[in-house]
Amino acid sequence: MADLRCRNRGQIILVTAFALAVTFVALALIVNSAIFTENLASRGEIAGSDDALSMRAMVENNVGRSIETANRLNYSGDLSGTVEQSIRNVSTQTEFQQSTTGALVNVTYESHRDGTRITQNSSSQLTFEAGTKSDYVVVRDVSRVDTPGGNGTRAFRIDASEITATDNDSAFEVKVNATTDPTGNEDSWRMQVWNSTDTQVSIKTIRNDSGTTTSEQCTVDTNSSSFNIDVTGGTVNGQPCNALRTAPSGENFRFASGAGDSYDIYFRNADMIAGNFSMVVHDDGVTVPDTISSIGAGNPYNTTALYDVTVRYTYDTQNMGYETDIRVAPGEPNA
Amino acid sequence: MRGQAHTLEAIIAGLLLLTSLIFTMQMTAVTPLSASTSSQHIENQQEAAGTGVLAAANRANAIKPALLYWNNSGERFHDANEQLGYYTNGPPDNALGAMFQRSFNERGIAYNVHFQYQNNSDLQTVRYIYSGVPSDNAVASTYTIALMDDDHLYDADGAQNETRLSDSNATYPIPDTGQNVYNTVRIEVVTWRI
Amino acid sequence: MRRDRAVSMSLNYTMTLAIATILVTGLLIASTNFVENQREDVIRDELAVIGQQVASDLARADRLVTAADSNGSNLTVSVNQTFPERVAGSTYHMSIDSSDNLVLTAAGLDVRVTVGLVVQTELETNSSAYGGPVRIVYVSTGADSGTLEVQNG
Repeated sequence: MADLRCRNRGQIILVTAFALAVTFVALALIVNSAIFTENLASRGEIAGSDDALSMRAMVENNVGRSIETANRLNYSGDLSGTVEQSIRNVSTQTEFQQSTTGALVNVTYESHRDGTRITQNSSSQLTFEAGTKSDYVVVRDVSRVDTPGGNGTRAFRIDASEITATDNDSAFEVKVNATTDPTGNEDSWRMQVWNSTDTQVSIKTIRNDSGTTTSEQCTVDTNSSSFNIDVTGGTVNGQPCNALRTAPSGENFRFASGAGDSYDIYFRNADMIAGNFSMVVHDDGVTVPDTISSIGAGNPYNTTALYDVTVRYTYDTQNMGYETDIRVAPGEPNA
Repeated sequence: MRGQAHTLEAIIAGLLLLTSLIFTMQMTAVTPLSASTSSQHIENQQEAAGTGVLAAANRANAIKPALLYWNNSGERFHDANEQLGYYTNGPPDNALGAMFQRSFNERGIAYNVHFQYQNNSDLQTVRYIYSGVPSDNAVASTYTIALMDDDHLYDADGAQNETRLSDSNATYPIPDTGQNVYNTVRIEVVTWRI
Repeated sequence: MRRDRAVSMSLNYTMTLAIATILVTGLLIASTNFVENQREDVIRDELAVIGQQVASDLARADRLVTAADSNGSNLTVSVNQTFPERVAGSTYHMSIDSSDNLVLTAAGLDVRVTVGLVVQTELETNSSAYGGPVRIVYVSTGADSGTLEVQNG
């Protein structure tokens, strides 16, 4: 081996050792980076971003409830002022609670559209003028909020305690017709409701698009003899009904689909059904010839109401900012 | 003199060797578990499960009946623990309780549910279900719902009672604030693995 | 001098040194190569992870934009996330190219990772950001429309 008495012993090995040491340090850096990558990969959503959308849904629900309550109770007073204050209350309380988890939520009233609420809550037959008129016009000239594709009616619910018709020949019918009705080629939407057996309700919807007729029928089995038909929502006692939604064939049978930009709503054979109903229509100049404007026994009546409310929704967290308008119209047919 | 220099050199060389060995060993001794990535995954999963259950309960309209499942005359929730006023022995007998039973109890996940509300600029809490002090890896999911003045209380079988929240003889613990809107309640579900 | 030494001291010395040098050089080259390979692998993996995180942030922002009832100048969306500034010692930068892909490149090492994006909102091509805090913003390009951009800060 090299001369052990030499002063420069083991220099090459020393240099190698230094070079290897530098290699190890570089490897340490790389391994550190790899471990951090694994940690980075396991991170889920950053705090708040999916919460913004779920909070938006909650805000929409809560504002919708405020609108419904105000429509029911405050129709004779300052309707929009009441709803504005309810929204402010909900916003302040939600903001206070969310601030403890690091998010800033704000909901402010921006604007609204007027509507008319048509209701009967005397649990009797849905006829007008104390039972004399069973074919009548409920409301004329309902205009959609957005053409095309917007809606003009929302939250149309029938709480039927008794359905007398047993087939669709004499069934209770809700007819939605385009306002201008050229003979023969009407644009209309019709719904017939009858009781096939004691606990089964059948609904048939017929769409007439300038002469071409399509129809869809559904039968819902419920375990009770009273039926809660949500016409705009498309359910009967909570169970979905294809005749009030998009049919399996792909055609849209939702309330008033295909009935033109402005329409009238008629009831026919209203003596074949008894119970309560309620609907809110967009009021841009509607006329309600066959309802009365104050609560009367056995008659449908109309009151002022709000059709929809637009609020400005803000959601801010440390890592996210979201600010947008939300239009709240509870019970609108979704399509 | 030369002997001392040699000794010093030997000692420093030895120390250098030792330090470098320790450094190298430490660098390779980090395992995936030590970065707690697996418990992070479990926490993400549980948070998603909690949020999902609450959203599904809202769609099935089960949250409000559970919130108002209040026995007005007994001044506590229906069939809750008599001294404490909240459920300690499993979920309540309503739709929301059934959802919790399916999603949490049957999977070995413990949970606490409480309602937060505002009382004159003070944030207060009412306990609904209590299963103990949560562990260190617990996650919370929340849902905010507004109660209206004319909401009804619910009976033990799930039917609506006649008593409304705004009635003078209602003994519901959450107070009334303002017109039309009774109060805004935030439901918080804290889950952890047993 | 011992009597059973090799041919001559200087040859002995030179050969030992030469063999030692060759062995050591071989070891050093191999280890440097090894470190380089590992580094490139780690950088590629980490850029892929960061790319996926940015892509999921873009998807989140896109969800917020499509769920909003307003658009254009009436809508504000911004999503932030902080990433490490250096990846295994080298800086990197990301940009959106014309076919809706997110391209991440590491400086100095010629490593390029592409992550495909599927969003419904329009993306601002050629918007780019360096490593560090990255922000995805909805920028309105008119009264009713806007694009998503990747920015720094």
